[in-house]
Amino acid sequence: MSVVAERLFKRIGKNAIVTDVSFEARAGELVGLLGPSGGGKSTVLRMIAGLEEPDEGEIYLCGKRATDLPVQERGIGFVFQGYALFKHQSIAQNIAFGLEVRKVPKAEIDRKVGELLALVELSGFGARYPSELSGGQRQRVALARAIAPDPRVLLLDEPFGALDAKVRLSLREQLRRLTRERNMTVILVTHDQEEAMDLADRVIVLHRGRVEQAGTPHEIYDHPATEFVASFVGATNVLRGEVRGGRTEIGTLQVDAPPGDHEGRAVTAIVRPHDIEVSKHPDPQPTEADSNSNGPNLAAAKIERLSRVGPTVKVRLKLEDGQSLTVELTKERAAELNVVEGDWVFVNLRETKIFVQDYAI
Amino acid sequence: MPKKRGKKRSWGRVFLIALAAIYVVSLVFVPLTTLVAGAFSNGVAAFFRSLFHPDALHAMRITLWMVVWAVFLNSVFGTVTAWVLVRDVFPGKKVLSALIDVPFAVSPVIAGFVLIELFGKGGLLRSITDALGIQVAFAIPGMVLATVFVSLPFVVREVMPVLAEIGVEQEQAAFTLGASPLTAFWRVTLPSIKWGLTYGVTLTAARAIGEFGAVLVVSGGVAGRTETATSFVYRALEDRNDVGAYSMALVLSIASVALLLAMEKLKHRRTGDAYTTQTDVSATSPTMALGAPQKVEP
Repeated sequence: MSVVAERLFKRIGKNAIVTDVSFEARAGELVGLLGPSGGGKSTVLRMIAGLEEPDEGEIYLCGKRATDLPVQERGIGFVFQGYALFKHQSIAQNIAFGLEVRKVPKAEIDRKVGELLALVELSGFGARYPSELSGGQRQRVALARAIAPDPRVLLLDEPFGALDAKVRLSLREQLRRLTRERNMTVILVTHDQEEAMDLADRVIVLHRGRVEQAGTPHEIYDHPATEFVASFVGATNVLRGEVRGGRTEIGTLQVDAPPGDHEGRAVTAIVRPHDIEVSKHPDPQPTEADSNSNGPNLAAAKIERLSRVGPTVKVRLKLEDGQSLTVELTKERAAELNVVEGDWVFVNLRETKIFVQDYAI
Repeated sequence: MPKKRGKKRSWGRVFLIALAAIYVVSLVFVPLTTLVAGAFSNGVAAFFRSLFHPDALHAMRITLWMVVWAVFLNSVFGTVTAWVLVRDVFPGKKVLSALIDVPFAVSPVIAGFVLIELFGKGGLLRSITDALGIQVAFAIPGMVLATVFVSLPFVVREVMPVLAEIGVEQEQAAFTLGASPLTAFWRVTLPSIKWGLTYGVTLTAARAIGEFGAVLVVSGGVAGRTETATSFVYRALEDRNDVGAYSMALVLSIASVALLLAMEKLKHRRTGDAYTTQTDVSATSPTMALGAPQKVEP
């Protein structure tokens, strides 16, 4: 079942929470609503569920207008951020709730609850109470309860937010498997860009109540449409520069200017930590990027800090003009360079995204 | 030497314990014994005889009615009021919330007096009740109104914090699972607030049993008609029917103490309940659960 949000607007008091948000989740698709907290993601999700009313705009479920449909009739499953389990009911009763409300025969309910408990790997926990479970277990109960009435659409509001990293990863797997098997359309709200990138077929980046970009994780990561997306998704360095003489100058570094005439304007350059090359000497061998430009495109930088993170070495650098830069090197490359904190090295930017600064800001 | 030290310190302790004991015994135990002694001063038979006197039986029945009505009306409307005050935003909400506590601030006698002013001869609302054929002043309806008034804050004030604490998410979860608002209330909200509600009801019942001033003023306390158990005690004392007064007073005391004990028990249930809230999502210890197995001896 497809979900369409069309030009949604929502204000609370004087604050615009959601401004002109449109997107579509096709049937069977897993869409991630990604953005920082307070970006309006949860409000959008709650409007789709019918828990909140949009000031303007329409919601379509399966091609039919659902804007005025009560929550109960939308056929959606919802997983709340705090799980919202019925704390005075056992786990089995929690899962059975949606079936009982629909007057499903008792034997059928028992069978289904047993199935769902097994599915979320909580067989034998049916008689326990929510307070007796761990966070991850509660999360799985919330998921089982939401999918028990077989909704066509599953909405999840920061479902893994309060869990530790390991539990989060395994639950992510479980969620993907469960919803794929049932061919559910899933919309997931998260502030964790890695989670969105990992889980979603498509990601919609929301910032200050507006859609910044919608696309596949690949598109979002490699071709960020705005400076915000580029800096929010993935680890990034943000450098300030200026367009001068058809080139973008960042300190002593030069990269291509963005298309169009922006002569003299301030720009922001976004560089991924693994798109930076570090060398000990101003390397004479020309790289591909260099051959297009006048002379080697290098800048001297001082190593402020070296730290080992898993298989990579993080190098914190300071350019001559005072701007900071974080570089990620493989541990082999780091060993090859053989540098220590305080050394001077040369950096070369392999790939940068340039965004012209808006005068309005 | 721990033993010696304990003895040294005990002088101060003995003094404090004695002080506490004298305080409680003289103020609570002595009157209670007097009550028991007075009730049985003419023997057990006289005690029962005075309690089974038609006026006494009638008075107890009236008090029971007051309790039933106050509990019923205040649970229903008290819950609704608490609900509205917690969940809704509307102009005048603060004023309404402040009004809830007025019965605690105003003397019950004044409450009774106001009811007479409203429903007595030439009262403001008299024409309406007359048209409906209901007598309020000096009758049961007026007494019910007085009792409901003096016990109004209990249910509201007990249910409000519980409602606020459980939040709206569980109800909304019920909605997303297909439950109507009514189903959600019965199956999700009510079980969550039941201890708060029960506690409020207990306090309401205790207040209804003990109410004297408001009910006496509004009813006139006519024996065998509008006399409650408390006004029976008052009249029996005036009539120098000491055994009657003491016996009824003893029954009322026993009822109140029973409610008090029930209340204490509920208090523990309630605090036990508070540990099982889901607000702390990071809590992973299952040992705090209500009804969790008690400590097991090896």
